[in-house]
Amino acid sequence: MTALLDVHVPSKRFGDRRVLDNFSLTLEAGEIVSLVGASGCGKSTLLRIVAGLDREHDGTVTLDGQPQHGVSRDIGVIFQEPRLLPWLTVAQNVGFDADAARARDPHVFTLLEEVGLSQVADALPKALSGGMAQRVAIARGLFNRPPLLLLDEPFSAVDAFTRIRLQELLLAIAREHDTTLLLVTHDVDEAAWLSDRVIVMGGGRVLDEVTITEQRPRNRRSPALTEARNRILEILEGAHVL
Amino acid sequence: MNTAARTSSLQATVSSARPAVPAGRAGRPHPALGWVLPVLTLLAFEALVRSGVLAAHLFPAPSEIVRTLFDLGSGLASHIGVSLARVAGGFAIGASLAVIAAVVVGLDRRAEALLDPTFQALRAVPSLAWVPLLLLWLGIDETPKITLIAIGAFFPVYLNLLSGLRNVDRKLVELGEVYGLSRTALVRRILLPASLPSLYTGLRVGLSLAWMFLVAAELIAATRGLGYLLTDGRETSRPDIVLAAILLLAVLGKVSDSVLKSLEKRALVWRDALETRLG
Repeated sequence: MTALLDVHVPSKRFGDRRVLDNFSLTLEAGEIVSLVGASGCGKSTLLRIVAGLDREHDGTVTLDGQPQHGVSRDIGVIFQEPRLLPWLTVAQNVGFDADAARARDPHVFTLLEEVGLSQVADALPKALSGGMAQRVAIARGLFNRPPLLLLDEPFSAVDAFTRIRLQELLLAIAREHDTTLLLVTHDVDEAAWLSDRVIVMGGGRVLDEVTITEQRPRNRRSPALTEARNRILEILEGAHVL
Repeated sequence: MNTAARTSSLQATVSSARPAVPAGRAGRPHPALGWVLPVLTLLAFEALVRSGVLAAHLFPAPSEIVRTLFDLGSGLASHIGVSLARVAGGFAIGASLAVIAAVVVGLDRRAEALLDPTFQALRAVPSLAWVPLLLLWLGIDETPKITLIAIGAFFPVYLNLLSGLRNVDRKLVELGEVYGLSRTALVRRILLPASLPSLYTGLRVGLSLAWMFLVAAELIAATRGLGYLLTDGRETSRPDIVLAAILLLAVLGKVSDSVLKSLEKRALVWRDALETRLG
């Protein structure tokens, strides 16, 4: 394995408040890594820095050996809300980066097949349920075949059953596209089930990290995952953030 | 395992994704409902004039107004044609300039600081106040009339589009940033489509003001047009001509608004709002 992403942020402030404090993170290609922590611990800020959406910091972001100075087509982003453009069809949303002229790109339909939405390619977003809309957002995030996909609490707005199905879908797609995932989540179970590594954050720093060695496909109720989840909670409790 | 196979169970149809719009208590109202009030008013007017309650030389009966419309014949078509052309020209110019101004002011704080206070001050000037100035500057032909109508159409389009641009969801703008859109692409692909509902509101208000400013323009220094008919009716003591012109302005205003409304409905079919759900 080789390092795909290298992030080092000595300090990131919002006014007087320090949100990130000497934060470093390295991701190997093909890894699935989650950032967990209480609200305000800096995890979403870190994701925005990696995405190139927040450039007001003194850190460095290196992707595949190349320093990043802004947004990049090699980094896909999936937000908490689907953020579909309501005036574009499902297919046009997925192929947004290719502009309207190339929205009939066969790649769009392959991606829609993969997320199980090829039947609604020509539908407008208003006709979709929350789960369906988030699947469209996943397909759009993968359109440029980015080696790294960032996900900011992508399933927090859907019901528990849909969340499980979307987690399975994300995992399958990441494996098929050989995509590295960096996921921000509040959901400790989600982090444990999806990830190879869980970075536990508090006060803008890495408190600790938990490596999940359980083989895939994983059983959500397996003792190893329960143990990993308990370990994450212990770290958070130990840092008095729970 | 193939993801397509894994997700086959996720295949869903759109129809069940959202509940149907709850129908109103009486369902969709009949389109003829809008005719009830005007028809009843005209019938009452006719009865009051014929029974002598209202003086016929001041309040001509609706049937008399219809006869006047027929008597005006081909001359009437010419008046209507001239007024329509003035409104169309003035509205097109005013609305186009307003779109450009709103985009410039909406995207650039310096342009806003420079231009917006002036626009806000000019907006407060009543339509008739422009007339003498435009006549002095531009003469008495078509130019001052079309300019006045363009001024009337400009401000509602400018204000509504500016407000629409300012209220575009920040999250959609951020999506544009993720895709590295240039400023022009951001305007074309996100800001303008997202502001389309506000733009249409502005266009509809602008069009109704264009008709109002048309009358202001034609009341003075015109020899043709519906505004001229109003002046002509007053000067020749013909209330039937005045009322015929008013009736035509109402009909033309309503028809042009309906055209714009149907364009709006078609363009905003994507909107998930009560307006589009009521159909």
